[in-house]
Amino acid sequence: MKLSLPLLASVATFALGLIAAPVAANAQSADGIVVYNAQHESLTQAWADAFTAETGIKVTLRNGSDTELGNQIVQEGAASSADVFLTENSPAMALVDAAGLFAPLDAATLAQVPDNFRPADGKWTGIAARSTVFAYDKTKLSEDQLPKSLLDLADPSWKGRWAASPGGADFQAIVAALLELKGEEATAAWLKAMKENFTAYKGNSTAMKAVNAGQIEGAVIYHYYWFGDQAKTGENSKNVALHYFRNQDPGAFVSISGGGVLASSKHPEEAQAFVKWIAGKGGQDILKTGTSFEYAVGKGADSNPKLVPLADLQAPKVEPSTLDSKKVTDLMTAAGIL
Amino acid sequence: MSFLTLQAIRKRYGATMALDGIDLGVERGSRTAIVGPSGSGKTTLLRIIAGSDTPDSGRLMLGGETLADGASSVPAYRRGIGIVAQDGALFPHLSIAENIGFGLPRRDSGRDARIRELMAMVELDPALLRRRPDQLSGGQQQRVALARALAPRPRLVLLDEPFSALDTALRASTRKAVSDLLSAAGVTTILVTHDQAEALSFADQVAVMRQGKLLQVGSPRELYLRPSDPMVASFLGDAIIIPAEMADGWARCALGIVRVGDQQPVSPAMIMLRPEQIGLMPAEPLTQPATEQDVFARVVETDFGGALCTITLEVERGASTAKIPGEAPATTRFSLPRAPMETPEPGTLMRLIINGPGHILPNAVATTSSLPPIR
Amino acid sequence: MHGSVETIRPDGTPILLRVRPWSRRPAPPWMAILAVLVSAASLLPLGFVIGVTIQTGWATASAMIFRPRVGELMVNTVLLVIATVPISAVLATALAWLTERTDLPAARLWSWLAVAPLAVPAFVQSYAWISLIPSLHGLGAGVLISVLAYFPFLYLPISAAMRRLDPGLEDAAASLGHSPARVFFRIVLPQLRLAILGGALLVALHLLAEYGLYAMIRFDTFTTAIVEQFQSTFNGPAANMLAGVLVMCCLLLLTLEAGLRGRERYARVGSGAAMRARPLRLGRAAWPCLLLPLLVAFLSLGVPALTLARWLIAGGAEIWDLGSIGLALGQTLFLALAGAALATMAAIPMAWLSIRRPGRLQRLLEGCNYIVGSLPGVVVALALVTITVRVALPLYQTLFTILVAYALMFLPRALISLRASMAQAPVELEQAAASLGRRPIHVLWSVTMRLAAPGAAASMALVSLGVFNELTATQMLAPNGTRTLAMAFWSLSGEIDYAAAAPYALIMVLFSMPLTWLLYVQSRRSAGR
Repeated sequence: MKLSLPLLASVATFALGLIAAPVAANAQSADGIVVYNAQHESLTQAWADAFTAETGIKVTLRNGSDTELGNQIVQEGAASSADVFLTENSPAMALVDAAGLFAPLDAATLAQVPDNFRPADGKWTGIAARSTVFAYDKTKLSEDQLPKSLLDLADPSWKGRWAASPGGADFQAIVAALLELKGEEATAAWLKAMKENFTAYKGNSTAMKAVNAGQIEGAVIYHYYWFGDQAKTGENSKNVALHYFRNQDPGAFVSISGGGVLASSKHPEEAQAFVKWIAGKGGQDILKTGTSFEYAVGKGADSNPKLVPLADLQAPKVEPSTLDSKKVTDLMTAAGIL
Repeated sequence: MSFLTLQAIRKRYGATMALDGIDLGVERGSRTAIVGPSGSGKTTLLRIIAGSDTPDSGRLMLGGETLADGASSVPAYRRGIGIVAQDGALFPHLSIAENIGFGLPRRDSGRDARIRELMAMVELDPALLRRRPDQLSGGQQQRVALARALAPRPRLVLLDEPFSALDTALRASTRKAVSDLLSAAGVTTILVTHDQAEALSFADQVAVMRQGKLLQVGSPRELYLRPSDPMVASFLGDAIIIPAEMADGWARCALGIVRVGDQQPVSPAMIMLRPEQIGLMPAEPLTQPATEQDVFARVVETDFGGALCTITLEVERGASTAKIPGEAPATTRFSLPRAPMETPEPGTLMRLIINGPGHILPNAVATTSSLPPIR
Repeated sequence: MHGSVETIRPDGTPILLRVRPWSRRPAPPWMAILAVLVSAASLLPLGFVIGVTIQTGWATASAMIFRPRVGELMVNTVLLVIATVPISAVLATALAWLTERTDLPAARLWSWLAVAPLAVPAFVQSYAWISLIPSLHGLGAGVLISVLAYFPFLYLPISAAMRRLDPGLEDAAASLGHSPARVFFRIVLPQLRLAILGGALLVALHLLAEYGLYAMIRFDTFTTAIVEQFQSTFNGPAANMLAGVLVMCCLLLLTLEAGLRGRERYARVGSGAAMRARPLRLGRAAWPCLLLPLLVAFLSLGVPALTLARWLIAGGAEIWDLGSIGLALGQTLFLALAGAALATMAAIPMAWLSIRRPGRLQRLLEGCNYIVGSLPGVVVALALVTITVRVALPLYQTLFTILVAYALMFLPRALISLRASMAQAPVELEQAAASLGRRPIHVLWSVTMRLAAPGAAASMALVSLGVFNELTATQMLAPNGTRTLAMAFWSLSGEIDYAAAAPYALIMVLFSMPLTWLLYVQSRRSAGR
């Protein structure tokens, strides 16, 4: 068969393209590490940039949400291209850990972080923390009108008055804590009441913005959204105040952001170095000085002085490794929230 | 006053004067054809009569009612004037029955009967009623369009080149059928066409149009035989138009001495002969002795065309040649249609015999440069 | 023998192509094989939905499908469709009538402005509105923004159909005693039916598929719920079952449209050349009539322009992080061009088959492509995630997979322009080339494809436009480290950093403008102007 040169060329290019594409896509991880990042993009980018500047190790991010990426790693199993997994909350870390996909962290890494901010098995570590708050419209609610407990929000008197971002891992972590502290039955009942009472927003920022704009009286979110906005223009938080539940209430839950190294990593040394760096002075300093306003968790690391000190939050004791994301999404799906 | 009267109708589109002062009267029950080359304004005139367009100025009256006076105009749907368009313009989404019944009141109990009556009138099988327009042939579509236009019993029907989209064979038969039908129904009709044969055979009154003006209005016979100017003459059929010198009711021209009617002779003038007036006799052998008045022409070319062949002749020995003062006489060539068996060989010398009178064109200036090519 | 292929353009314009089968010889098998392969690949997402349902088991599947939450989503989705589509249709018809059939001042400008909103991605439109009126949410907001974002999909085919309408029909109807209003409803509107149906289908499919627009204004549809489930559980059974229901909704719409369309063709009857309609004189009514296009242009283009300007000014120089923006632009352009190239190449065998060898096989294959092309990106992405993770892991999260997803999603777009231009490459040329001793494959390359090149370029442009603003599938499938303009915009606006998101929105709009212009010009040309 006689074929013309251009035809041959185009067919060949096409075929080569098909073969080359997967190779090319994987090539980017050949030097440097791939981080499946569920933390705020801006925070991880700041970490990665500083880390690369210091060590010369390139970092490629794949951004997603906690449970999405957690489940993804579980599905990918040993073939995952992830070297490091960073989350905003613990349940997704627990999920990957339970699947046995994490490599043990270097002892030096673990030594940087107090016991209460990492699971006992040493497969991952806390890298930052955030506190649950009730962000409320201070023009509408006085302090005595605030809920004493997260559980109060299930009361019919709160119908139509509060917001949350149920699709996000943040809120799901709070529910996971509730599940851990109060059990399945109480949680299911609370979620059922929540479905009646709450208004769903996509994202905590949006929920806070709605509070600020007077569309809703309060929202269950994390503390740093408010501080972040205040540090910028305050445009979305000027009418908003934060209420900390304290008293070991489920609503006082402090969620631990985690970092771990995948057992399947082809660059274990670099990956270990990255997690160690984040949990160490370099990474924790960025939490103190940067714009993330998350709590630092490293030994002797200070958080941003504007924040209410961690020790004053009277958070309930929750073992991070026991938080069950699957159960939470099932319960939320059953309640019709998802 | 006529049934339909147009007075000084003018319409301008941008820089183009589409209608430049049209005056026309149409009698009740008559058939009028407006004929002209494309771009002459005839469709615009039709649209103004129908009410699809408004004149810039002028008056339009139908049966004593003013339909348009300047820019104030009765809208098309209140005029009761039917249209049959070039392509039928059947509604593609409606069945034949719905098309025909479109102008009839929906709740009219006699509606179905009327539709069937119309189908019979246009000689279509009632089985077609449930079909869609695109399932019909072109001729059938035109008949449906006619039936649809006639259904609400319009005061006037306008036919906009309704036969031009049809095949040649279908065209004549459809035209005949429509013509018969309209005269049977006694509907006043205006036909617009660029086909002179169609206009002449269809109408009682023909109006020739050019560049937004009516050149001449009259009966088909009058227009064909007594056109007012060369344009009308040649538009309505082949014409030989030549200069002639006038004397005593006779015209002396390159083709011989021709009787002209009682027209006032102005000499020199342009006269028109129709080719069918010119007979040919072989010059040899001489059946009659040649006189001074005989004209001989030699066949220079023959063009075989089946039923009708064309022969081209050149005048060799004219009795006299009318001369335009100051200009040299041109060689006179002309063409004639002939039946194939009557076609002489090229080179044959023929004697010309002119039957009937010639016609002096009153509006023609006799200069050679104004001569249309003689055919 | 004449066959005819009826289809709709990506803009919904029905086009009729007269096609003459070349000969009775069977198609070159390699062309047919390629076409079958492409179609088989395009059936993957449907296979996925069925497969995953079987795998999930009926008990779990029914528990996931028949639950109140799905009912809520169904009500939302149905209400959205039945409110948005008719409003858009009425608006588009009114605008098309004003711009095509009247002497509205500056009609060409308004006509272009009625198409231009296509250059504003739906989620940018939503962003513009939400930052203008932060409390906007729910069904009302969803309908408002959807109408503004999608009515051009109806305007394009309706205005094209209006240009093609034979004014003789309206004159005939008027001569039969029908007032202008009745003529409009009995003659004009029925002839616009195919255009309206085609456009309505396109709008409805977009409503089902859109994520960003509704996520921003907190209006839950199946697509937003699937994305939310995906973010919570990756490809969990709940997401997959929701995708199944969404697929059913799409198939229902396709069936509904096919049923309403019926077998009728409103071809122009008769052979004469259609006259151009003379525009209706609006006279003193022109000024009130101008209010409609003015208002629509203000809402659909003015609001995004004002909002973008506001954020760009508020953000100042700080938001122009040229490194990130340049990288995102480069990646987006690369994906758009590569996706367009793949989709167009994949469309060649199908297009050739449907022009030169129309038949049952071709219709079947085309049907497959059409159905898959109408599935939301989130379903295609979910299918490819699941299939690559489970079966073809090396392909998982590669450039190849995301490009395949684009090709599947945009194949019908590519097919239509390509087919229209191939139809214009006369078969006689192929025959002549063949008679000169060229082999079929060589003929295809050296004659047909060369002549069809403008059409191929148009398909590539249309696919690029789709890829350029694609969000959901890209987010789910793109290789590690990918950050397209849409992804960056989405992530920044999600953190309510509206100012930082503005440059990305601006670039998306600016790059979409020429492609939208192309679409506009193409539609005018198809209508003979």
